[in-house]
Amino acid sequence: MVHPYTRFRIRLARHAVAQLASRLRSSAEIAMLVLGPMTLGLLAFAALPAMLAAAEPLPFALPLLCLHGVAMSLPIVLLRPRVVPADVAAWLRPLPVPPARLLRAAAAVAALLTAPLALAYAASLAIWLVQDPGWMAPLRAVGGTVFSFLLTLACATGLLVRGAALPQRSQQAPADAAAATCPPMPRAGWFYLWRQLFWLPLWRGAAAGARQGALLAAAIGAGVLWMLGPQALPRVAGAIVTSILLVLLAHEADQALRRQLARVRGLAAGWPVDVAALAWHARALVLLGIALAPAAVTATGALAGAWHGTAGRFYLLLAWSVPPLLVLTPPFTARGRMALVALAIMLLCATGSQLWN
Amino acid sequence: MELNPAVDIKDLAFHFATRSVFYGLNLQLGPGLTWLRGRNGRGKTTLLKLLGGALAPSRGHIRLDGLDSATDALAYRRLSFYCGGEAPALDWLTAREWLELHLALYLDADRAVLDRHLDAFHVADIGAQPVTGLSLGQYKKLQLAFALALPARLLLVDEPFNGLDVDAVGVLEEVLARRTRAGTSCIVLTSHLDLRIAPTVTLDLDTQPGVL
Repeated sequence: MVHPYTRFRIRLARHAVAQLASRLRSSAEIAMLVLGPMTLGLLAFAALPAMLAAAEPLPFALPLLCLHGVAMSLPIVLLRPRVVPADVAAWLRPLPVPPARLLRAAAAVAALLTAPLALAYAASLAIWLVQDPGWMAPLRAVGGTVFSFLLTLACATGLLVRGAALPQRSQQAPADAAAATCPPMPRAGWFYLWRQLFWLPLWRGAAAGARQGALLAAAIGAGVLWMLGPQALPRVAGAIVTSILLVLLAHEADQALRRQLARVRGLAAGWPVDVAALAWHARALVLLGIALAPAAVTATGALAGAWHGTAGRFYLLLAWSVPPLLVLTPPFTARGRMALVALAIMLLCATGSQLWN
Repeated sequence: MELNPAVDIKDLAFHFATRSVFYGLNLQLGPGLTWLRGRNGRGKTTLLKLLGGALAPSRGHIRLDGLDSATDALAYRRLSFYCGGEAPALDWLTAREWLELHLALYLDADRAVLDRHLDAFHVADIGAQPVTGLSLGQYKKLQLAFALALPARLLLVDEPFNGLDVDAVGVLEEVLARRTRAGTSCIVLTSHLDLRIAPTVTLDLDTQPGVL
């Protein structure tokens, strides 16, 4: 008989997974349509890192397998706020649950969450065992993969226990937080309102700002590398990575803006401020931020002489018009938006890969 | 602008997705303190939000000094302020940033009065704390200190005594009594507790025609 606490935690996890699946359904449909055969091929490679590590001599194999096992548990860090939402954790923590029960419940939830990984490993192992390449020692490959998976499961359990257990005792007294409540200088203006209502929420208690920052840096880095054309990076790979990052950056920034606009509209309903004008200013500033990436690609491309041909000019036109297109078009449906994103990626990739042909 | 504020509600209808709250509500509110009473779920907070412009009527009009809450929305909102809500909105801001933002939105707030109220409520030194880290009473005091520093013609105060300490209740009652006597603003207040200050008008939604 499963204890009600464990049953509740499993139900919570299933609900979170179902919610996530419904959110990702539209994107998954488009991704499967565009990248279907490639996705199936990737499945065969799921267990490859563990099998390759297991083929090394034991002193190298063990640390590599441990690293792989721990790394594969990291998505649980992202999933944990969904599996144990903050409002649920607040009343879950004071419940008189013995540590052993907490551990068992966390292990059950971890098993549920890592089950797809186990299935992918099993399919991948089966494929490679049938292929039986020369470098693979079948027993060590199976043992290594199982070891890596068990380590992932253990780490996932540990992460979930931390999420639902009593909060950690704070080690350090905070610095004196006393500060005047009344601000010294009155401020006003659209830029100030944008900063308080759209910029700060990206960074405080949210990962959206860091995500956009990372995407922006990656898009600029990939674009510059593509244009410089080092020996190790084929031009086509540079075009594909840069194009994907440019579109994902615009999509991510647009989604974050739409979410925050929905929040602000509710809050600002009674304020003496023109919310529609505020929304236009927010959109303009988001576009200005995103523009850094195409600007960097344009500038380095000009130095590398990339924009002389028709493909170059068409790529520039696309790279500059995709962000406003995503930000200024209505959201349609989730599926429609994902189709637009996929189309933009495909057009940019196709044009970008023709640049040096 | 008239010396005495006047609120005119005509043929007001408002529906949530699952139920109707008002249908054909007619009210006139004058200067002074209006004590809005009624059982839970009668629509006290909804009426305050409608009066504050945060909700839009499905039908009918709300006018403050002749300004319509729907057609003259910005001008209307400059003259009114809704003070309520116990869960902090703008949960990414600190207390000082919260106040700074509201000062930027309502440019005619009296900063000297605001300073005085923050002191009187003992919340003058919580500026660095995030609003989500404030206690219920501290958040309420922050909102009230700001609301009472506004020259609002229509001040809407939802359950102001919830979570306040005894000293703060005394301060609030004194300020409300003073503003009521001055008669320059229309204060609409909801409270399940009996008021220790005399309201100008008591409005009971349980017996009011047009409340469903």
